[in-house]
Amino acid sequence: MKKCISYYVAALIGKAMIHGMHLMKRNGTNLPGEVALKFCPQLLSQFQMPKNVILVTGTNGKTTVTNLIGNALKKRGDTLITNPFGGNVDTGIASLLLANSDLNGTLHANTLLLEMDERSAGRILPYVQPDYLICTNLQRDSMKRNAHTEFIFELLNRNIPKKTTLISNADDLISSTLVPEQPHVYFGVSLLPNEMPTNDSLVCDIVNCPKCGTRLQFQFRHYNHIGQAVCPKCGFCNAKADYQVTAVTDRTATILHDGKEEHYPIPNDRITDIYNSAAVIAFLRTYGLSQQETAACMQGSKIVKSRYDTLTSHGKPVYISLAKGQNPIACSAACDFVRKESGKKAVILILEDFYDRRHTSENIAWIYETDFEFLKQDNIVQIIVGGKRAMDYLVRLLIAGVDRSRISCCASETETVQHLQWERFEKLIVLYDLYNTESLAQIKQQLQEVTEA
Amino acid sequence: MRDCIIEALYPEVCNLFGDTGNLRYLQQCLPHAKIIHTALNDEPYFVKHPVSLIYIGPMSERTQCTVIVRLLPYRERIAECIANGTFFLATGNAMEIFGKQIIDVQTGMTECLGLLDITTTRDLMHRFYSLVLGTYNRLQMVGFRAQFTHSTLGETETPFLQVTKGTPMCETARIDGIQRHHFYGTYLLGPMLILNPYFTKQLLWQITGQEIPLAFEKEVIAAYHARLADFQDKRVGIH
Repeated sequence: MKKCISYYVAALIGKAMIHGMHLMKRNGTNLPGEVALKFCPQLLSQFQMPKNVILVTGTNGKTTVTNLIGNALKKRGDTLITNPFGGNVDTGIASLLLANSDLNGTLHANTLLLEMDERSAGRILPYVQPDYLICTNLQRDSMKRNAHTEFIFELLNRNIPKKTTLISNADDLISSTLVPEQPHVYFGVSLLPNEMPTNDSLVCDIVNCPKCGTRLQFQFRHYNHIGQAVCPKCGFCNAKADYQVTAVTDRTATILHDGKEEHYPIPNDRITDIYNSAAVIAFLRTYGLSQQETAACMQGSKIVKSRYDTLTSHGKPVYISLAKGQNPIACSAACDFVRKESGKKAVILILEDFYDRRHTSENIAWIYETDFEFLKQDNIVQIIVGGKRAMDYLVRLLIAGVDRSRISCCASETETVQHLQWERFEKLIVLYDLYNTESLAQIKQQLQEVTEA
Repeated sequence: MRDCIIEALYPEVCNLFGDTGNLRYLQQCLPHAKIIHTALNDEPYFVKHPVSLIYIGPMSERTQCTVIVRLLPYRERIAECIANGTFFLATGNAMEIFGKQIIDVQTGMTECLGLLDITTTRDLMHRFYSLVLGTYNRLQMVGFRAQFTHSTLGETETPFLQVTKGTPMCETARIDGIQRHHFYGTYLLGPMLILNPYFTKQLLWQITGQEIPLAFEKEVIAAYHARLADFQDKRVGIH
């Protein structure tokens, strides 16, 4: 492919910046790509792509799915270029490609696996044309950035290349209807034995039939609008899943495929992670791996610690779960996880946005579409909120019906541990925002110190 | 206390940014009020009955078109309600459907209900976001906006807020929203009644004819003052 001069200028500058930042031990995920794209806006189209190009997108779960697929492909010996730690917008991806290519733009790997921010579809998909696009789901997200699901749907629908095969969530009536004329392989999850469906979420992102406008009848919802529904008027309903999880026992998923049961190890039995695993398995099987190869790749797979971690403090289990501030669906799923845990529990909430706090006053509207009502439970004996907006969370929890005597507020996240009354609960659950990692690290340290003391 | 009937129009689709928090809060402030949730395919209650307050929240652009079609048969009744002093609260882009038209720079013009002199321009390629500090009468109001649109008011219309910090709804005047009689339209999103307890107290007094203690009044007012101080801090950016 003949390249324009602006490409070489951009590539030289971008590569020099990456090298310089590497020498300074700085982690510049986006900056080199941002600068290079200014010199060459078509930069992403100038690379010689590897044989296999796989993209993962969706509102929730894309980092986990990208990591699980990446680990699986590495296990079977693929050479891989991927972005497991973020950098999922056009600038981050440009940085990644610059860092992993020669000056002619040739990428030295047989597979490119990218997590793609769904809002960046228009700036990435026309250039990095994937063979496979895995879309985990489309749900409401940050109002500041994502507007609403219809907006994101249209953005993806307009830009998905014709050659792309989609790995789609059959239980998501929004994302599963993307580019209907193109090949889809669907994954889904049945209402599992002993599962309590979450039919009481505040938010359901699709209520009316997209074909005729009639109110949909949901048979069940795992969370948000993810579940099975049918239109009583025109019959519109979920696609039939090619890979249907029918049971999960001891972190082994039973999947119905082509009328036969298959068994796969999965890293976690939370419903959101079951979906992530189903997406990965559906992809690997479609990609050509046999059942045995796929099961072997999934063996020992783990959710990255930035999403979920456990430790012991005071001799009691502590679950540390990403709740994603400003993302009501992810945070509601985390609240649902809390309510479904048995025994007496204490909960620490550190959900404020680190960047907003530095630059502005955080918009807390999203907490009114997050299911904090799930935390109104007799066996949640303490809820401790830390951060500048603690008063807002106090009001929200009171409106949710949580008893005032169970709520403590601290102006700083790192003060929360001091308020724990360890004798009152059997387990502690910490829900944190993705960008609150510094506070979380300190909280973890305090919890470890308690154990050591 | 006067009987209080609150009708939420299409809350299953007009609820993009936590706006139904307003309804839950109103129910807790007015436990004896009747709150009617009218779904998109149902006939609105206000068509045949008097109501105290009609509430409608923000929606997607496609839903705006559907809502306009649904409400068009009741245009005269809505006009009558506005004229006779029925309270309306339209938040986010819900306000736009009561205006004259929405001009989308990519797809063209949509005629709206034409009840208020508001003209809206939409550009889906440009979303903007801002905190808003403003005044309504002598009350300091706080909130947030996130939208694809700018709107202008006709000369005879009265804005809801004078904006003192943050992005106003148009380039020519530091204003937000519209107020005609008891119709309050604002681009403030989400739980604006919880964020603005003094406004809510005033609204409830107007609706019910008596002073109503707010639910969790002490905590809500403390949170309001914390946010107000934040907004008034010059070091705090608007986005």
